Amino acid sequence: MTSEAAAGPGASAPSAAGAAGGILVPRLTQSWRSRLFIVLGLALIVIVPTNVGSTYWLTVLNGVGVAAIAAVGLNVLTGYAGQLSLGQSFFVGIGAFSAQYFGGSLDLPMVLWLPLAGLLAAAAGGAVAPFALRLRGPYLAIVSLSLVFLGIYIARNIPSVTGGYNGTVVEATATLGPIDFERPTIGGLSFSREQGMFLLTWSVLAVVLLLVANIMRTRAGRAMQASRDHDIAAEVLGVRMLRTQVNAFVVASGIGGIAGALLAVNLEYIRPENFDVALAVQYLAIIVIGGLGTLFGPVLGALFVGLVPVLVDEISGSLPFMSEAGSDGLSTTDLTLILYGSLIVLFLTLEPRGLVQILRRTSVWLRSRRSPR
Amino acid sequence: MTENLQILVGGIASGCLLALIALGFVVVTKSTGVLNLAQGGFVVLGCYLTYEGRQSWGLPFWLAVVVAAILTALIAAIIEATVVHPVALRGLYPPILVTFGISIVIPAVAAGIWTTYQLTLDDPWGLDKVGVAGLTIAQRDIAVIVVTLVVLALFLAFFRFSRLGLAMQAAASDPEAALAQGISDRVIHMTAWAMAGALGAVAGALLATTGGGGVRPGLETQALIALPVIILGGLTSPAGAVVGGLLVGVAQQFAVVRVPDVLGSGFHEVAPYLLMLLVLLVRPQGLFGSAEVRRI
Amino acid sequence: MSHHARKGFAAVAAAAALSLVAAGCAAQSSDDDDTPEGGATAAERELAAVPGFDPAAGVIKIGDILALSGPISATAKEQLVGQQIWFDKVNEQGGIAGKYKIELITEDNQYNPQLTVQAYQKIADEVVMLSGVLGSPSVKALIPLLDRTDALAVPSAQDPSFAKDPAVLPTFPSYQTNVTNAVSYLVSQDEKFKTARYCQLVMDSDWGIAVSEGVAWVTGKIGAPTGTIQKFAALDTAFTAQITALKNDNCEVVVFGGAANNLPSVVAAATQLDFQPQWIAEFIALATAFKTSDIAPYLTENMIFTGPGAKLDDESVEGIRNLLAGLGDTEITVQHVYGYMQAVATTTLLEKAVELGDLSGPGLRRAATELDSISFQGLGGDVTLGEPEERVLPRATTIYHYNPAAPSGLEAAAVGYQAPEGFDDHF
Repeated sequence: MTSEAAAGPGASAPSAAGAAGGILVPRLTQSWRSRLFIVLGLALIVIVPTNVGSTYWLTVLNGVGVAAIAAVGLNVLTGYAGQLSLGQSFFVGIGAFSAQYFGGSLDLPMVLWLPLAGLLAAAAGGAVAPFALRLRGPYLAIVSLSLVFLGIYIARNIPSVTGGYNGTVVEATATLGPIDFERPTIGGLSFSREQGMFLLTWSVLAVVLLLVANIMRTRAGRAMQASRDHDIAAEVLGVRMLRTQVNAFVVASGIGGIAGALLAVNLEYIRPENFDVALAVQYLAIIVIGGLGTLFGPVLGALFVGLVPVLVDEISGSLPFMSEAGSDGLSTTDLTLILYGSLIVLFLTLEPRGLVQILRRTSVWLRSRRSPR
Repeated sequence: MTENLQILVGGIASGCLLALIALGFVVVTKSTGVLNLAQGGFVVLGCYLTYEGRQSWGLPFWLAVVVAAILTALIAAIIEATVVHPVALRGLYPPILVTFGISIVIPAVAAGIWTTYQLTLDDPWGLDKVGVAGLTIAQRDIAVIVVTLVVLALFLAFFRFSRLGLAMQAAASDPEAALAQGISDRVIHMTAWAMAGALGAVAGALLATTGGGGVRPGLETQALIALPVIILGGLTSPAGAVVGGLLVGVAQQFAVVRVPDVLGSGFHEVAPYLLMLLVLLVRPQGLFGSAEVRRI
Repeated sequence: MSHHARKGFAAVAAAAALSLVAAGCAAQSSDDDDTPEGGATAAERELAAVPGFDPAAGVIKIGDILALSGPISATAKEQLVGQQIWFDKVNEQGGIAGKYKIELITEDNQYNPQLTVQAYQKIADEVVMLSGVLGSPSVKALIPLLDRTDALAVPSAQDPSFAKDPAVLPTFPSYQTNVTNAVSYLVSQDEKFKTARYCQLVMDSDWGIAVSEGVAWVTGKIGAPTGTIQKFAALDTAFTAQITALKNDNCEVVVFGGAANNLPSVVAAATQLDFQPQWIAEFIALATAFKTSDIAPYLTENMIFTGPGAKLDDESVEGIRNLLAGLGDTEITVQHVYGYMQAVATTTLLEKAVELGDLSGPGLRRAATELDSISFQGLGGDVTLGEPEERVLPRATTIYHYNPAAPSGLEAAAVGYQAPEGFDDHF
């Protein structure tokens, strides 16, 4: 399997910058092209929100950003370490309610509630990992699903934290030092909450991507991929399976927790059943559609899953054969669901390795056309 | 005592329905290795096609169920041949996600055709009941139990006596052995899906009866409830699916009334999962599953 | 390597700076005051244009966010039809204040709170207010956003917490109130219900909790004994265990808090075990199709239903007359009534806002405080408005008996019944 983060020749030696800085020093860049992409991507984090005024599109994109973060986490476990999980929404839920508890009930600042949400979810991941390691394939998928059901059950029964069946309004405030993401102002200009949330969400996504890219170059990260590709051989060669899989679980759930915290401040109101099976399957859909075990696959997948229904909805609303709202027959949303489901089927049948692979092939094809015979 | 027996009978009936749905999962997983998330869609189709047979085509109930099962089996086989098969052998994830895509499409199509109003099937049992040794049992529950037994018998006979069934058995343990018997994996996969479709359809028809709650939208979610059953029984064991279904059905009914309040609200909803986890702690392959051999 | 990286960051910084230069179009100056100007008296001032209202075109646009797809879309669509009938009627008579036509824009939330927020943001700039948001969870999810934008919505939900929230214009009595009225009605009909044993079969949800609150309060008030509270999950299809427990507890009245997809299974289990208490349910538990179903006799025999409305074929009631005229051949349901009442609340508020000369969000909120109450053309009790903290939800409930011969099976036994026992303040 190809992946940007697979250990290339230039990345095989441990960073000279020192162990501590190892995973924070950006080493994504292997060519001027990818460097350009990164610069462009970072610039977009600022350009998009400052130039898109529509709170609707920003809300959609903020949802995409949060889903992408959760999916990047799941991708560590499922894509890189090869463990099929349908439990990511459980960890996202832990992060969301932790954010409200630490940031809302205890009124701690974001520098504390955001990492705490990640840490708590990571701890939960570490706790279930040894159990999950005994299971493979569909078994792990369904057992991880039970986490989701148990999570909802537990959340409904601790109303002091979660609000129980009624859910809770999120009071955690998204401020970082002088920057208030809920009412950002830059040089006399004030921006909407949605614009601030875009800045926050997509910046965190960038940091998380950087983190994962570099983890995958460490010894622990390479061990994860080795255990996926040849699990018994890897064991024979000295990869400690238990520790490796626990590592993958902890990283995946920790990132899921961060996503949950951001989801909470984005939504402003959360209920236990927000973090249900549908959400868990959606995260899996995102990483498979985007491209398993690739760095940017989850981002592409999240854009697909988040934007396709919205775009199809825009188009189908103007189709002549649709039933009018209020009458019987095929509703716009039903048509949207049919097209969305069909597109998932179509894309995976055409290219089971996901959108990343389609992009890659397109760019190869473009280059081959450009280069003279 | 009578009370417990009464609850037990109710649990057995609802367990049988779970078993039917679980069998649909198992036959596909066993023969093709795919976890089929679209199984709930077949339940929906079974429910509405039976309704169509009753109301539009004027068929007697049983004939309507058989026609619905055949149609759903056909649809399932076509889906397998056209969109699932191309990815079935390309890793664990693409086929699961393809079935996820299908699971989104089917209920939306059904809503477009049959609307989302609650409808009535007019089944032969209605609210009739019989008295047996001091218990009163709904006729519909007896029908559910009998249908499950018949389906299970057909199932076992098929796997034991038919050439195709034997080949499917063989394919489950060794794909090349089946090819050696002259039956292609295409046929095996399509047959498995057709069987899953028919099983889902029968479950859907039984859920659409008055005692089952009537013809209604949202039946696809019933398949989710059967997921712990298939793990509990062992992912590839038909007998396990039935035993697992009964266990979960009965345990859930007792969890409704016999569990102390300290366990909090909603306990009976997670009881199947807790039971599953408990079994897995002791037997990671489920009650009837065979221990997986890790291939090198 | 790190040298290159530093160069990269410099480029990012440059790009960021550039993008800020281009940012002006999606930002607003901080010291911009976004409250509309007051001043001159409303009558002499031309009604100002606001998002969703164009004085030149003479059209006021209203949003309705409800489940147009998913399991409950059929009943949701009936609410929409009910709303449209009243808006059509108002437009026929010239519109709001005799000159502004109402145009309804619908969005699908699939009964999902997260999609509700997204749907609202899609139409927020096109509508002056929302005439419906289906589902308590969806309304709660929307309130923070409504508050931030000073907007207003009519909830298509019955949570009592909405009564005093400035972001919503409440229309319906709470579940607690309906249960209280139903129990009080039974007692008024027959003394035996004063000492009957009251039990519950409720969904494990905030709805179930609301029903339980109502039962606890009213039984305490009349001094009746209470029995077991049985719970079920939305997807349950087997009820033998719950019914067995209710029967063994010698329950004489059972309050049911569940939906139409639960009711046939419940009746099946109750019939199987020969359990025939007096049942109380919300109209939401009914589907029109039950009239021809096997469960109809049991419903007729044992159940009463609560909801808004009047005798559903009584043309002397203004609301019913308009609904029947608008529906034509379609059979009237309480869902139609429900939607119609939301539309009435909406137009009453809009009339007041036009009178006050301000259709903006803050203007509508002010109009709601200036209104003393809203009446519903004989379809439900008045809602008391005024300052948010003074608002009181309607207290009247219509009690229906089941009768397959009546429209959608509901025959009003007591229209606008109000419990003489009174109500808890927070219902």
